[in-house]
Amino acid sequence: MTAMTEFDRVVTSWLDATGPADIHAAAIDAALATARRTHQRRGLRGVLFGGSAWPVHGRRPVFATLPPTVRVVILLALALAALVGALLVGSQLMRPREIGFTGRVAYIRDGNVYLDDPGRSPITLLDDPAVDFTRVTWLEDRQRVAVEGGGVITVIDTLTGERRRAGPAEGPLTWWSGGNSYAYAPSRDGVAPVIEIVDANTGQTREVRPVPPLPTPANLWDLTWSGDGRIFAAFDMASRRFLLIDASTGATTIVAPTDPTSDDAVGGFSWSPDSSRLAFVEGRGGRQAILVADRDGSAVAQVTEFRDDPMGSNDWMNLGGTLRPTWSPDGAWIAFRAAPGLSLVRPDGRDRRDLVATPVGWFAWAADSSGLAFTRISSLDAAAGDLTWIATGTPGSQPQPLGLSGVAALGVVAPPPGGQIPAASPGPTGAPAMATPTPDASAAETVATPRPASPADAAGSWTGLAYTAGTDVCQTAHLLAFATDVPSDLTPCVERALVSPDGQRIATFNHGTLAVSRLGGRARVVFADGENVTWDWVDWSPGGRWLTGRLTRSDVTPPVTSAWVTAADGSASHELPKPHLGTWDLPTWSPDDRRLAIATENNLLVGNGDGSGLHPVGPFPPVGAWSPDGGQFAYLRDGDVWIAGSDGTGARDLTRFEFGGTWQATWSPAGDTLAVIQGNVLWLVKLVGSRSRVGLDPGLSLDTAVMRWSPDGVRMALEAGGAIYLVAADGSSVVRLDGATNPSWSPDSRFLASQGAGPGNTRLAVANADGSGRRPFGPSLVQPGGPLVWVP
Amino acid sequence: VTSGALVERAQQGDRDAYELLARGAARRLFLVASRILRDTDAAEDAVQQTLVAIWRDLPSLRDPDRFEAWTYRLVVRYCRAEGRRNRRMGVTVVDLSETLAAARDEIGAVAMRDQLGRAFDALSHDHRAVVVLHHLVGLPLGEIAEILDIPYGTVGSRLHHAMRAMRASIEAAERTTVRGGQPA
Repeated sequence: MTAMTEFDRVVTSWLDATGPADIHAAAIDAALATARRTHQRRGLRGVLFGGSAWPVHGRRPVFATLPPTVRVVILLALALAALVGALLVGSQLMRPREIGFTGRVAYIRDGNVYLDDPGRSPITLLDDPAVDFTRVTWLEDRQRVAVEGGGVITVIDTLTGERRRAGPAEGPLTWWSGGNSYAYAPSRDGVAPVIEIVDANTGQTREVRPVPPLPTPANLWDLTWSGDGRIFAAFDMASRRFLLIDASTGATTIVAPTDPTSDDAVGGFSWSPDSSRLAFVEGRGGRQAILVADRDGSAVAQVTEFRDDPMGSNDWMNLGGTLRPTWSPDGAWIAFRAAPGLSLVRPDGRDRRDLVATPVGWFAWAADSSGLAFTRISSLDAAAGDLTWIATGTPGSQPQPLGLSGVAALGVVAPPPGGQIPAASPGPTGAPAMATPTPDASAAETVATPRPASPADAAGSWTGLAYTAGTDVCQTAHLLAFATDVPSDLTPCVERALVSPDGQRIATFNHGTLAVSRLGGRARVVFADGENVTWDWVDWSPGGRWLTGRLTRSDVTPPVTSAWVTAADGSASHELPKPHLGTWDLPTWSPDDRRLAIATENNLLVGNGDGSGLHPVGPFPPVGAWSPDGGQFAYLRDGDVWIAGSDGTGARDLTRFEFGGTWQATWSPAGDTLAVIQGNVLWLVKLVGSRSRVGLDPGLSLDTAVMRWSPDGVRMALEAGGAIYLVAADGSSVVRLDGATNPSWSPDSRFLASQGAGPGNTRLAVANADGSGRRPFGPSLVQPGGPLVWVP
Repeated sequence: VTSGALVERAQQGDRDAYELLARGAARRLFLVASRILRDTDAAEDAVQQTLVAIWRDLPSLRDPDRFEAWTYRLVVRYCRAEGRRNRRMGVTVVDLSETLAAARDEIGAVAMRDQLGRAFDALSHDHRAVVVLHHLVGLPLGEIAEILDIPYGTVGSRLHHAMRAMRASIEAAERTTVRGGQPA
């Protein structure tokens, strides 16, 4: 074992020597030339250390120029004053910290578009000095944002960085919450007003003409699409009528203002999440109120009292600009700007709460309705302000500044996709893991009612679990029988021991000899190559027909290393082609054992499962995984997952991530989906091209993740961070098993075996397939050196 | 003129002061970037962006004495962006000088360097940044935590994870050598 300090020195020495020593002078000159053409950012102050990482406005304070001793005295005085103030205010300032802000915020600042992903550096999504971006909108998948600016709509995938122009935008637009289409009402003189609907994926446009046609001139203002995509609400500025327009037929309903004699206007539309109701602002004689109507414009009810417009105007342009009701995603509340602050009210007008009394600019609900992010502005006409968060679930919650200034055009605040994955209560035996999974609050659906499960249940179908434990020098295969709860040795201590995937045979690699035996049976030598040989990198094929291993013969000079495939019954052996130096990749079999692939320096070789008939299919990197039918293989190239036919034809980039970053992919048993890990994101990617992100715990590292699909394809077990996440095949639900590693599905997909992950808790455990009823059994074990194998 | 004075002058828009600072910082930033990215072209791109950002954002630096640390923060940020943008992620660009140097080494040293390189390549850019700032630049963990704006514990865990992975790789190579095998 290399000593830590010595290894540090080795790494330092290697880092020092491993790369070029200096940058080209031309590169510096080019950068300096660019800098000469660049203006310094004035008026921004960065708080780099000891505080927020976000820039804030202001000039360098005089305070910073004072001598240190003076600064200390001032700080002490300020601290004392703050303490006294806190005591005077009383418990208000001693309130425990509010619910933490965990959202992702897209916003416009200084004309550029940014993404604030808590815990990470802010990301610039769009930065074009020639374009003044005006609005950013999160789309329904909470992953993409749509940005308006320069007369076009740009859709950006905030996870992959993929960016594309979705289509034109002639005026304010409205997104269908499905996120795939948007609409706007272009203002064209002398032409009957129409609504343009743009497919954001294809750029195709279609027109919706109100029926009967609206009189010309007309100008549809504040066009707002319902969440189900079926109705537009709008105000015809010319005729001063409140309209509901069918998005398919154009059939138009005129909704009279509640006071038909009024010349005032209606605007600030906001559809309820289920599209059944519409909130809007009506202005009467210089005063405004929020009302709610059914989706057909009937049953209008007043939600707030009419109040003076704090902007001092009843102009249509201001309607909704002040109050602008916004439904919470759960439909329970309407948030609105009450002069000058921010308030909540129930849709039926009950339970009004004034959250903030100071001027508020933009505001947006968290996707889980847990709170509101808003910009605290200096005056009502200020364009930008300080980003602030307030939890709405607890009356009396206090606003929390998020340390970000100059924010405008705030997008919907979305929690990290998937949010926090719930862990269930401890099992009945006091195991550290869950017994009854609960659904994820934001992304997961309710898990099926847990079936009763215990090791005894598994014992009805299975003898126990086999595994290998030991060191690199000596390994022993063991069987932990469900019936006895006691492990027994299946092999003596050998160089390498592996239980076959079907749990019926054991391969032992020892001193150049490879022997296979049935469990408890007599071993039969299937391969022998002398005494002075060591084995490593050994493996079974998925179906248990073949074995592979790399052996090194040390009785010759220099030592010779070779890799072999051997039939488990000893009927055939084939030496594999020598790969290029440094990439001793093991062969990869198709799940049916019929095809084998191995990468060489210039080619990927594909052949029969026994290692015969290998032929080059092209310059492919090593195969990541074969499709279940062996007809295709997936591989990683340039950070993307590619798939190709088994003959190397039809290669295509399946994931097309802009920034790559993929490092693992696994086929579902049905062969229609690949689970893909891109950085610390898990994707379910369909072969047809669609993909969905699976919500896992925020901050979870997938650096060492392991993925195992259940044989029936209903779920996938992902091990990461000392827990196992059970992910539904469609990504709709996720359940976390705490303190669990090494997932192994029973071949009938009914049970999941795992091993404890905590110190002093390395017992094996069995749970139902949905994660319920997990119970440990057997003694605490030495860390198994291989997979847990179900033994019939 | 002290470095702090140069920074203050550059903050006030003095381009000559900035260029002195930039030329002085370029090499150390390039050493960091080239190790993190393991790609000379990408490293030069990252450093160029960093140098421009230094000029553009210098007025936002509160404490001129933290100029050096601040530039490390910038270069790591641009390395991260460069790494994400560079679709060749995971492909090591072999530097010719390194190859020639390696050819003169003993086979064991080559194997170790090869193993170290591959183990290092397998690390995320965030992990690489911690290793480089600690073991190449020699910064203490607390300062790295400030530079990267991450908790101290996170720096420690990243460093632990990275060094463990690299050490495991070397030990595997050593075992192979002991058994008389060729380097894996």
